[in-house]
Amino acid sequence: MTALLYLFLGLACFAALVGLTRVVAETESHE
Amino acid sequence: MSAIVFVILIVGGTAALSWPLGRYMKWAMDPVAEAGFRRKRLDHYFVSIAGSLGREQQGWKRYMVAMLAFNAVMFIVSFAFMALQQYLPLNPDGTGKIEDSLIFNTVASFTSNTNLQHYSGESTMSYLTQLCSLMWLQFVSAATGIAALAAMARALAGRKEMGNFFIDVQRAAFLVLLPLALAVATLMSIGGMPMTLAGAAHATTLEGAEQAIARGPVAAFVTIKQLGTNGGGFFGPNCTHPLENPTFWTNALAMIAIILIPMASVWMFGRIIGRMRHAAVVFAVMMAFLLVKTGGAVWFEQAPTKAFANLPIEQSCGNLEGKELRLGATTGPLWAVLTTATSNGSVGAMHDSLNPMTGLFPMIGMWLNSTFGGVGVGMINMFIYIILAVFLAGMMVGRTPEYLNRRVEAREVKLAVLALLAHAFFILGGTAVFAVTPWGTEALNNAGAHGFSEMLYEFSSASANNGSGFEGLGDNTPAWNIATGVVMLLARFIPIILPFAIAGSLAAKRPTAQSAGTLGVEDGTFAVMLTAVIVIIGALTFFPAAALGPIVEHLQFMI
Repeated sequence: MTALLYLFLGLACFAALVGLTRVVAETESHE
Repeated sequence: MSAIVFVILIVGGTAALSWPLGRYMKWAMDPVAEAGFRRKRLDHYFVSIAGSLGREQQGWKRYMVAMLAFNAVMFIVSFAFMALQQYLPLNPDGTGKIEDSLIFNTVASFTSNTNLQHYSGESTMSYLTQLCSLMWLQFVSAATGIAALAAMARALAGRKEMGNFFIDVQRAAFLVLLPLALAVATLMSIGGMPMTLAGAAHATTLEGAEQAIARGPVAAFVTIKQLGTNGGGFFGPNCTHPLENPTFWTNALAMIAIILIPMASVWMFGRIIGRMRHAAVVFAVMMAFLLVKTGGAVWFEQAPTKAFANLPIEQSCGNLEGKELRLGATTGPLWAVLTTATSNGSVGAMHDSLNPMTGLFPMIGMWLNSTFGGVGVGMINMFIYIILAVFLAGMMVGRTPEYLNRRVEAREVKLAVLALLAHAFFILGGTAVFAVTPWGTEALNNAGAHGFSEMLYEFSSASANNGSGFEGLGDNTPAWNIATGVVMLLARFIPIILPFAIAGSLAAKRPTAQSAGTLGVEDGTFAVMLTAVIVIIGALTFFPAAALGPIVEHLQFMI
């Protein structure tokens, strides 16, 4: 069960990185 | 004198080898439209393997999302292998369940090309885990770095599309890493490194005790760990273990393997953007930093260790504490510099035992992380410094900054600064938190400045995706495993995403005509400017932390 939490923590990091990519891409379209 | 010759042979010899390899990497990673039938056929196979994913041409955003998705899937698969290893085959020594936070840390570590190890491989991992989880990640994480550099270079060459990640990662794995790994692993095996799937050998010692001698598919594992700037050892002591580094020759070969692809990556970059003189300038700057760090480390390590002061021990060879005597005193500091200059992280001596100022040079390597840096990503990190150097030089002479005939404007500079700040934040922020909480202080084996250095080194290693350890730190705790695991994942991909956004932004701009006011990036002036920017930014960012760790420890010994 704890292992699953750690797995989700790793996937949350990847989700945050995808989010960062989208945010940076957004700034591109605004400028 | 012999120390200088040894350093010149290793560094100079590898620099010479990097030139033809860079040419080959360009052929492998970025084939020209008029490439021969056989080369095109290879790409045809790669497209077949990737299926529909490999057919589209990607801009920087799609390329990044593809890279992140690929690595997330690798994370899940490797996590499953590790979590279930006790039920899976290829486990002749019956290694059991791995603690959950250690699984997270290890998978994050190998996915991010860091290979920080809070465990001993021979007693914690089954052969299946070592081969199908860790070694697999050593190939694909390194291939990710090479693919990213090739794609970024295409954008800087003015192409609207960056290529396709799923094709690039196969090109890097199958055409660059695999052939090199086969050749080097064969030499390592001939040099005495074990390559077997049999379990531990059992021997009876002279005292009559039974001893289990761990072994396994070491040659294959160690080779890709060096070539891919991974660094994760098959055994806990890494390359200080006699079966992971049996002779002087395997030691020399390993050091060459550590810096070969990072050096060749610069030449590949130059060939793709069509500016070999610019690549030569960047290479020269990186080489200058490497030689200064090597010279400093070897020089400071010639002094005897203060730990043996007032003891009846002969120390005319310099500091031999924590060194492999069969490999000599010089190889320790040289390896320490090479492994941290390249984000490799394998160790050939105990870094905790280095003289305080010697220990500073590996940290500088990880703080700058671009001289030569990891495979592919080292050049991407240097690109951030190049953007800042171009911007500052442009401001100094009152001209609009340009790089490769594209204007560098506020957005590009903001993104470059963000990438540098992220690296500094992960290192200094992490160290600060652990230095004042029991998470850090209760894990220390040394008090004072040396203990601070151990924590600073650990976060530097995690953020630079290096993976080497200062050691002396009881770091296999949930707090260290979670903190460094998160840092490794974020610090791996943020410094790829932001430079990609810069490259994509530059590629979208209309090329400007070269004029007398354009700052040249192919001459000595630019080399000096780039060097100054790296030194000033590095010094301003990390000097206070260095002063609290290795510098104050050095001064304490002088009192």
